[in-house]
Amino acid sequence: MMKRGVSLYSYQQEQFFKRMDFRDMVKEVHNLGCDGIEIIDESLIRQYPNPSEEFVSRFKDTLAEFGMRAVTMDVNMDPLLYRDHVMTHKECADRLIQDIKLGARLGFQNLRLCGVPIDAMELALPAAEDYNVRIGKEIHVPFTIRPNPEQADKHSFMPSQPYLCQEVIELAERKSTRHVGVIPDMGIFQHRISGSRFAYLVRHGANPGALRAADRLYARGLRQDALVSALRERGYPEQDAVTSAQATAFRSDVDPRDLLEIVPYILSIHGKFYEMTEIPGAEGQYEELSIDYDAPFYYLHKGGYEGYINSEYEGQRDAQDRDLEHLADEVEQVRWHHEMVGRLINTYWHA
Amino acid sequence: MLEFQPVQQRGFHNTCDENGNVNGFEFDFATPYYKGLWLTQCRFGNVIVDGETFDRDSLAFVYNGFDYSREELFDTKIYWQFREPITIRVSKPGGLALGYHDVTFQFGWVLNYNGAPEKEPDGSGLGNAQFMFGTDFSRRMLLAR
Repeated sequence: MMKRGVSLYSYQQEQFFKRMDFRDMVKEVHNLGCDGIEIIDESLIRQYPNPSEEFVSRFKDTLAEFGMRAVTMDVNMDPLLYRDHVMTHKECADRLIQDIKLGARLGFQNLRLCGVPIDAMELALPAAEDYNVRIGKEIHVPFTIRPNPEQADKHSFMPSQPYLCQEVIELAERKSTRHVGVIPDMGIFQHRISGSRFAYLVRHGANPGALRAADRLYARGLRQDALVSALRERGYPEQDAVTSAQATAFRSDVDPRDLLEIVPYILSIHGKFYEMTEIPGAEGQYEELSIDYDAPFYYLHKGGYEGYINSEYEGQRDAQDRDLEHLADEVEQVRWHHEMVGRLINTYWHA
Repeated sequence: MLEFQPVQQRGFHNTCDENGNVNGFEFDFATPYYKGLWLTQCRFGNVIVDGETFDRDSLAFVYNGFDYSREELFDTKIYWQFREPITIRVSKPGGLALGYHDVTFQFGWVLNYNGAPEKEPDGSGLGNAQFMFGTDFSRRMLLAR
């Protein structure tokens, strides 16, 4: 059965305002009836990259107190760290090995990587095996599961790697290792402007009708310039046409069926969401209107997925232009997300 | 305690030399990102107060009790801990007048979500993370001393 967890990134505002400390967050996740904990190392670990022994024992003791498991630690790679040169693959691997050791110290099963060249993963693989920490590339928007070279050109500010997923799987196969894999982010199944983003854009002067039209035209296959033109033809002013088309730009459009092929390589999943809302007519049941969860869960079950999905709430950032009393309620949003995820798990894994 | 806005009101005040003469002002800044950064990957820009620009290379950056120039920061191996502010010290004989000021600090960083290094879009020297957070962090603040 697929297991549930939470990335503590979801509670970033609660952390900021010091309304929840680490123990409070772990306790809250425990109370959701699950045992998965995910963290971003550089936002949670004091004195990163060299936390004290005291920090490490407190971290592990707190997880043990509630019977929780350290599932995935999200690490970054910054090959542009030095002004005079781009880090070599060897330098990247050395940093990744440090991350692997840090993950092992804290008891994590997996590391989520982004920006790590495939050669550096290969160089660090022996360390991953020695420390028994699996390393997984995140499949995050704008990446895809199937190679999609056309998609790569869509996001000029963010060069994509159309063969990313394929490269990782080839490495895992070539090395016959279970310590390399992928970590899909549910954001790759986003199909409309999120509720939180829609509200943000409208607060800042966007035309709600044009945003809705952009979503509908996007669903018909219109992209970029063609989408702007179609909005213009419908009579929306230039600014509204451009803004609304841009709001649809950052997507992967992954077909949920693609998951079937990669299930054996999935280390864990980021349960990305932006806004949970109550399903009309179904009290106490919630949905994320902008991201498809249903079909991906169907195919994850069909493929035999038994790993974790960890909630990754990100919609709070869309409300941070507002006053304190209008900020999002992260605790409630994550609870609602777990209602949906738990219900879908029951639907498919218990059927 | 940190304020939610990257430019911090707390810590905004004029500074004095050893003889007690006002020689400039300073304020604190915390990144808007969700994690800490290595100082070498940060791209510190100009300070602009009420339209007057203070060049990035005339600023002093105080972290952990030590002051650095922008150039010096590139050769450190210091991790800027998450949610710890850095102090930006600006020299200006006589300092700022007491009262409200519009303070902007230009700041960016380089990051890499992909395998291929990402290029800075505009040659501003402010890094490649602008598409997410912009570069100009402004706040109207009260100078009380």
